Formats: sequence, structure tokens, C-alpha cells
Amino acid sequence: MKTANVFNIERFATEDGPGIRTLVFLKGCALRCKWCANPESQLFEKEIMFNGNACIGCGKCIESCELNAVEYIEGFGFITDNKKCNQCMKCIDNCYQNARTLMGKEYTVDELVEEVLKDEEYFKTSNGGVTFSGGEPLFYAEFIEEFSKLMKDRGISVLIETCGHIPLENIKLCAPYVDMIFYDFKHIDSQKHKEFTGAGNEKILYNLCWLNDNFKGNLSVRYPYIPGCNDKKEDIEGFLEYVSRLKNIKEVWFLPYHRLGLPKYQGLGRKYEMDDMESLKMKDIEFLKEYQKKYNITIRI
Amino acid sequence: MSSRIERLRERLFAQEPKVCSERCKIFTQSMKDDEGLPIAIKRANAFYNVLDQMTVWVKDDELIVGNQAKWPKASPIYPEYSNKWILEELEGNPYKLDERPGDKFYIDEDVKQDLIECIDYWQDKTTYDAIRKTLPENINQAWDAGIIDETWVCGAGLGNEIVDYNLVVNKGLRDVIERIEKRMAELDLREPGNVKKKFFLDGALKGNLAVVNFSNRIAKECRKEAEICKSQERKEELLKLADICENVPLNPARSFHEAVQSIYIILLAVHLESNGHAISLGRFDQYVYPFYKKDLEEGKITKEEALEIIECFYIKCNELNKLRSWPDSEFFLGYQMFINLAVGGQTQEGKDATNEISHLCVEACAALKLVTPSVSIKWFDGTSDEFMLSALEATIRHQGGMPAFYNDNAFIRTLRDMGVAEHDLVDWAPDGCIEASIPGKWDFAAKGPWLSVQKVLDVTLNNGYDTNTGVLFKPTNKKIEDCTSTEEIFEEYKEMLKFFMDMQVVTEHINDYIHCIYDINAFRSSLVEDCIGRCLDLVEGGSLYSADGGPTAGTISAGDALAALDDIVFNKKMLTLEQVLHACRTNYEDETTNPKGSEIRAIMLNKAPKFGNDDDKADKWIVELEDFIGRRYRHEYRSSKYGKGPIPCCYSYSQSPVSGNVAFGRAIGATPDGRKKGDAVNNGISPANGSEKNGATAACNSVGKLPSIWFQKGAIFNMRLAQSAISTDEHRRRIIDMIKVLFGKYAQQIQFNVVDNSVYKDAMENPENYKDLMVRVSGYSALFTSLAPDCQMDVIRRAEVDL
Repeated sequence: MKTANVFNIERFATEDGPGIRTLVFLKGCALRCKWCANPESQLFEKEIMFNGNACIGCGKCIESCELNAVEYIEGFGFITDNKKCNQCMKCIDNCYQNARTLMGKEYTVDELVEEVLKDEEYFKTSNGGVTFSGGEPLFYAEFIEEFSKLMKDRGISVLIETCGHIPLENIKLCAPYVDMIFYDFKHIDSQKHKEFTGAGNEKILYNLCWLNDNFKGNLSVRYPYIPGCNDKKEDIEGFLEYVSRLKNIKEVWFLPYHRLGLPKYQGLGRKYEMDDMESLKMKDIEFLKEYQKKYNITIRI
Repeated sequence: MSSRIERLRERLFAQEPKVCSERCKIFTQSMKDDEGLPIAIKRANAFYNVLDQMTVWVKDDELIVGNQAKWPKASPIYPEYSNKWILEELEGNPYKLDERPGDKFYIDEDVKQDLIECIDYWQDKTTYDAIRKTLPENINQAWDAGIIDETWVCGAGLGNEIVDYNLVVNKGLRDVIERIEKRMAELDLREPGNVKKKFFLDGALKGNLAVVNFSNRIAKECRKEAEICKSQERKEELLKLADICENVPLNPARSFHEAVQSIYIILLAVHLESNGHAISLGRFDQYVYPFYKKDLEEGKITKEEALEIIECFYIKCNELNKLRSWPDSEFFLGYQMFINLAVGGQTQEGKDATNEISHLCVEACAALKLVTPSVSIKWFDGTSDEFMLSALEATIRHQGGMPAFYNDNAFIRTLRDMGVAEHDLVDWAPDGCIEASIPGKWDFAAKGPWLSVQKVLDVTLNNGYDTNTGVLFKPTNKKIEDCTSTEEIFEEYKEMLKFFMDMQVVTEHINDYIHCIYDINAFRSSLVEDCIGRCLDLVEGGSLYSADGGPTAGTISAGDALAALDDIVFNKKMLTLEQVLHACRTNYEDETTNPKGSEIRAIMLNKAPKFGNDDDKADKWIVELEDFIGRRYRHEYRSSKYGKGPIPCCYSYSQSPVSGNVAFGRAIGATPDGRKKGDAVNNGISPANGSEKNGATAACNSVGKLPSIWFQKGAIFNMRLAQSAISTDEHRRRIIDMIKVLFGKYAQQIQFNVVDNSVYKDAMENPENYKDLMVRVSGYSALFTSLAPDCQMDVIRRAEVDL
């Protein structure tokens, strides 16, 4: 049976596609973007994440772990060593403050369908639907293909947010049943791309071109605007130059950098590489709209 | 906003609320002089004298004129309802009026002396004293224990009426007077009962003449002001106002301006006859629109001028005020008069009734950002998205939960079930907070003692005892400690609820009896069908429709408590019933147990299902509880007017607690939902603070499961929305679609609190109340409270630019 490892489901998502949508986060990604706001999405395996704000320091998690997988680490908190952990759930059940969460839950297609259909009326009234995010959802291409067919039968739209760093086959499998794709674009320069994300951009650009030529749905590109990484004039212009040649791209979105993922890194016992750079405000990147005319493309912030 | 409105608005905010003794003095003297006369006549004479002798004033810039007291926002005093608290509060017990923690009032020394002299006459002659003396001991005990509370109804006048403004603007009081006189002529005074009828009609006639005289006095004041006025422009305005006040409300309105002025005079008069609050306006846009349309067609008015008149009217509504005792104020904080004004909805033919005045009313609400009137949007299937969009925009600008949205389909279904005639259904309007009324045909949209539903659970779990006062109200059939399932506990709880609901109804019968003796208000009654025909006051059964029902608080919290017991104790067996009961009785503070009291609380709070998450494990208990209460009120009780003419004369369910959820919470011990002793219970049918975790649609689905057929007196659903979730048209369309689905499930009402930065800042300090506060950034999700302070500040800064 096809399953997907879901680490979060957000209902009434308002920032990830048209209408009222349920946002399904799938676990696992091949890139390691320095600024990634969902570090819990990167590994394919389940892992326990700790929330320091909810913790009262009672230590019950350590007491209840028979494998000694939970350790108190100064500056982080009660962190689970996921290599030792067998996900028995005891530290989570015994945490009365709900300061620990198992990130990742296996869903069959039917189970996920049942879950999202709780909001079916909202989807239909608003022309909304389901958005897959991640991680990189297209690693679950067969799951999404089957799921999307069922949604199509009900007239509910499916949107995929992808980083593009996946085998083209996966895209081809899902593309006929998916209504919209938000495609991430991180750097025009492959060297730099590799430096910031761990991989070059060749495959990503190739896949984007394929989608431009073949995808029948709505294709938009999203550019996370990260100071010090991809915010130079030549970076932006190179990117826009590239995508403006792809005629099926409906819109370009710039997403301002934010550091709201920071506590999650802490909760996983990991260091956040962007350190203490403050989040950008929307108005900090308003100027990018100026490029609309030059490149004859719709730019949204 | 015009410069006139800016000035008026500034003056309103600069004005401090005072206490005025004029009405109290004139009324008291008149009642003394008339001792021995029938109550209907005595009160009508006093009403006449008040309106004849009180100061009337007209201030600069006003386009709507008339006043309730000597100063704007000053409260008159109504010593006939209750007064001991006035003397006590003047002495500083529990607070001096100007030192209260909320709803402060200022009082001049001479006013204080006036009140003390008047109250001397009223010692022990008030409705409050009469009711306290008449109630059986156990009801008084329940009142003192904070289980029921009748203060708002018997310590002040009865309110929550919508008189027939449609009649006033189209036919004038002249029509009312003629019908009273005709009815008088029909009465054969030799026949038994007819003299009492005659007394009522005498009172009604006197009351109508009082209001006509009052308007003429205001006209005279306008002329006087005009004489000394230096500005030619203002002089003309004043003379025009004088002309208007000489014509209305006696005669039909001749223009839009006259119609609105006529409504205001009636509103004032009803507020001066008695001090019941929630004197609402009904379908304002419907009955004034024809006047606007005619003026517009004849070139006598512009849209801007009409807006200015509406804005003047709103500002004047905020000049009305009511001094409540401090304990009563705690239930109604915010100087609230609950003047509800409905717009939109449908016509008799089922067409969209929204017109240009509906839009102007919404615009005025957004621009002025005032507490009153509460602007209510009546939504039905034919309401346009464009109107909803502008109303949502107004919500963002107003920032105080207005306008609110009401579901025509749900209220019509309920009212039809209660026997309201088909041709009256579309005219229903929310009164006060949310209670459904048929304007001009219903008596009191809300009337009856408060019931603290969660407190009754507290008493049940203590085997019938109130732990604060030590009173044993009614022993449970089985000791709670011996119960072996949630169902068994629920059965005990239902028995206890019946016991206190019975008390509510008995109290209300007694209350009505007392009011019939003490408190006949023939003027307002004469503006409600069929009081003239029956020669009966509203409280005696004069109206076409009537149903009692006081507000309740805490049903959702009580259901959450049952759900927590069911899940943690009986299903997951994480704790025993004994452990939970002990923890509740020790306020979750006994740290010698294992687990500790604080840990048990954390389990009940965090590990148990809660209403508002579309989770049947919690929702089924709330649904069953609401159904039990609502069905019993509707089908098991009759009000005092039963058989006298009005229909249906049942009791009815209200879940609009204003601030009663906080006030009642103080008397409730710790409960199994994890609530600590004294903490607030949930508000209306909104999920308890911090219990909603699955987003807006999940909350809507939970609310949509509730049996709204019973909620004639409304059920408030407050939803918190981030600024960013409502900032663009695209976002607002999503909200409208969500409302449509919610209303498709027959939910009754929804109102939005837009989360601004002050909310985020509060959430940083009190994270336990904001567990549901979501940060919405694309492709990322987190709860606000899980962020570190510097990240939280980032969110706040981002929100600021999203405005």
C-alpha cells in the first residue's frame, strides 16, 4: 500500500494557493538549504522534536526513555538522539506539557483523503483544495498521483510546492493530475546553488523547462529572497531573465527571508546556520516589483 | 469623515461619563405626589414630568438632537429598581464610582446629595428588594453562590425591546394616539377588568403626549440657539432642526433626516421611561431607505449628507449611558448599551434587501469605531459577496468585532419552529448582543436570570454542595466518587441542571409578578403590537410574541470537562476519577500526590480533547449538553404570559455572555477541563481560550455540529483572525467562503477579532491563552507561542507592515 510520511497538516492555509486549502507537509528532501525554515522536513525518517517554550523542565522525558535516547543539552533542552530512539512514544505521552512531538506519521492514501475531506465543503465553496509542501513532496510521486486522481474526481484542486530537485519521472507521473505547481528557484548560478543548498541547479532548471513545455496546469515560480545568499542584483536579474523566457510561468513570487525555523533547529538539537540575521519585512523587498515591466512578468511579494 | 463628524467624535471621546440626578429627582417627586394612583398612570405621569422638566440641550454641529441627561454620556438614575448599592458605592464599597477598575463614572457633590435624598424615599420599595424578599430561600442561596443571577433583570428595568420604528416613521405617534383613544372609547367600564385596561390606556396616552411634548421642547431649544447663533449656516441648520422636531415623531417623517431624528427621539424616550438596556433598532436600513430614495430622487439629499446624518445618529447613540451596580457591571463591561442595528437580509419575496443605506451604515461603523450601535449583517443565500467584502473591510477598520455576521437561515428556522408567522420571519433582527426578536411584535428578546452552566457541573462534582458557601443544594443520586462512566456523571449533571433551570424559571415567574405590580411602561408598550388591543403592558403579555431566557455561560467549558473525564479517566485510564476529583477540590495545587496536582492539571489541559478542533471525542459531549439544555428550555417550561395571548411563551437558550463568563468564573472551583478556580469560562460558543489548535475550518466544523435550532437567544462565536489572513480581497473572499460553509451548517453568528500587535504582545506574556495563535507564512507553519521571543518580535514586526 502506498503511504506518505506526513509531518504536519495545516487546515485553512491562506498563503499557499487559491481558495481555502489544507496544507500537507511531507517529510524528506534532497536539498539542505541553509535557510530552510522546516528542518524537521529534511530527513525521510521520523524524528522527535522538542519545544523549549512549552517545557517546564520536569525531566519526565529522560526518566521514561528506556533507551537513554533523551539527553539534556545546554542551550537546546531535552533533545532526542533519533539514532537511538525507537519511537515508543513514552517520552511524548509522559510529557504533560506537550513539549515533544513525533514529526512524521504514515498515512495511506485513503487515510489522507479522509483527513482532508473534513474541509471538502470549504474547498468547493472557495475553489480551494489541497497543497502538498515539505520537504520535497514529489518524492512521494506515486502517492500523490493516486491521491490527486481521487481529488480530481471530486473536483478538488491539488497544488504542489516543489524544490525541483527530484527525478523528472516523478514529475511526469503527477503532472497530469495536478492543478498547480509552485516551483522553487534558489539561485541562477549553479556553483552558488551548490554552496547554499548542497546541490547544483542543473536538474532543477531542466525539470522547470520540462514543466514549462508540458505542464497543463498553472505554473508559478517562487524565489526565497535571502540576504547574503541570492540577493545581489545580478542574482535577481539573472533569475528573472531566465524565467521570463519560460512563457508558461504565470507568476513569480518573492518570499522574504524569515528565521522562524530557528526554534525547530534547537528542538532537533541542530545548529542554525543563518545565526541571528533578523527576518525581513514585506516592505524590504517591495522594490522587486519594479522589475515587472522590464521582464514583462507578474511579480508578487 | 467630514470635519463636523470629526469634531463631534472628538467631543464624544473627551466627555467623561457622569451621573445625572435630574430624572431621579423629577421622577421621585412625581411618584410621591401620585401615591395611591394605579401604577400604569403613576409611572406615565412621572415619565411625562421627567420629559417635561429635565434639561434639554442642543450642541454645536449636531444634526440629530435630544438628550438623555444633563450632559452627554451621563447616566440618569432609576432608583425604583434598586438603590442600596448606590449609597454603598458612594461610600466607596466596593469602589467609589470614579475608582472602579472598569466603567468608571464621575459624580458632582450636589448630584450625590440629590441621590441620597431621593433614595431615602425608595428604601425597600424597589423591584430588587421585592424580588429578594419574595424568592424562596434556596433561590437566594443559588444567587449568592453565583449559580444563577437575576440582578440585571430586577435591579434595573426590563430591556431588550425593539419597538415599531417602521410605524413611527411612516404613521407617527398620531396614529398610536388615535388607536389608544379608539380603544378607550370601546371599553365599557362597567364590565369586569376594564378599569385596569383603562388605566393602561391612560398611561399609554400620557406617555405618547410626553414624547411629543419632549420633541417640541427640543424644537424650542433649537430656536433659542438659532437666535443667538452667529454663523448663518448653523442658524439655518438649527431652524431646520426645530422644524423637524415640531413635525416628528408626532407625524409621519417627510424626509430622511426627519425619519432618523424621529427614531432617535423614540430611542431616547424608551431609555428614559425605564433603564433596561439593549433597546435595539431592528432593520434600520429597511425602514429609512424609502425616505432616502425619495429625497435622492427629488434632489434633496446627497449620499454624503445621508452618511453624515447616520454618523451623527451613531454618535448620539453613544451619548446614552447606564450606571449599573459594580457587580452587575462586571457582567456587562465596556459602557455597553447594546443598541443593535441590523442591515441586509432579505425581502418578503426572498430578494436581497441590501440597499445604499445598508452600505452607509457599514461605512459609518468602520469610520467612527464606536462601541454602539452594534452593526449586524444579516446574511442569506442571496447576499452579495461585494456587500460581505465591504463588511469584512469594515471589521478590519473597526477592530472591535463589528460588524458581526448573522445567518438568516438559522434564525428563520428557529423562529419558524417556535411558531412565528411566515410573513414575520424575514423581519427578525438581533437585539442587544444577538437575541432574535421580531421588531414591534416581540416583548423582551432576553429576560431571565443568568445561569452558570459550568458552576452547576462544579456543584455536581461536589455531590450537590457549593464549596464556597457550604450550602447543600440537592444531593446527587449517586456519589460522584462511585460513578463508573462519564455517562453516569452526565446523568447526575443533567439532574442538577434541571434543578437549577427550574429555579431560573420560577425566578422569572416571580420577577414578572413583581414587575406587573411595580413597573408598567405604557409608552414603549404602545409601540408594540398588540399591547393597545389587549390593553396590556409587555410584561403582562401585550405582545404578539414572547419567550423568556437569560444568558448562560460556560456550556463549552463544561462539555470540555466531561470530554476530559471521559478520555483521560474512563478511556485512556491515565488517572482515576478520585485523583481528578481530589485535584479539582484542591485547585490542582496538592503537590504531594502522584502525579502532582500541577501535573494532573497539565494532563487535563493538554492531553484531553477539546471543543473547537472538529474532534468528536470532545464535540459529542458539548452537542449532547447543548441539546439537553436547549430542548428542555423550549419544551418543558412556560413563561408567565402563557395563555394570555403571546406565542410561544417558552423559555429559550442564550449563549451571549458579554463579560459574564469572566464574572461567573470567579465563583467556580477548579474543573476537569484543567480550568483553575476563579478562571473565566469559555465565551459564548467559542472554544475555550487556547483550546483550538486545528485552525478556523475545524473550529467552524465543531460549531456547526451544535443544535442551533434551540438558540433563539443567540450563541456568540468569536473568531480570532490574523491581520494577514484578512488583509487582501483574496484573503477576505476566503473568509466569506468560510462563513458560507459555516452558515450552511446552520451556525447562527460569527464575529471576528482581528489580531493586531497588541494581541501578539499579550501572547508573548500569556502564552497559555494563545495556544491556537498560528503564524501563517507560506510553506511554513508554527504556533506563535512556540517561537523564541526574538522570533516572536519578528512576527510582530512583519505584521506591522501587513496593515
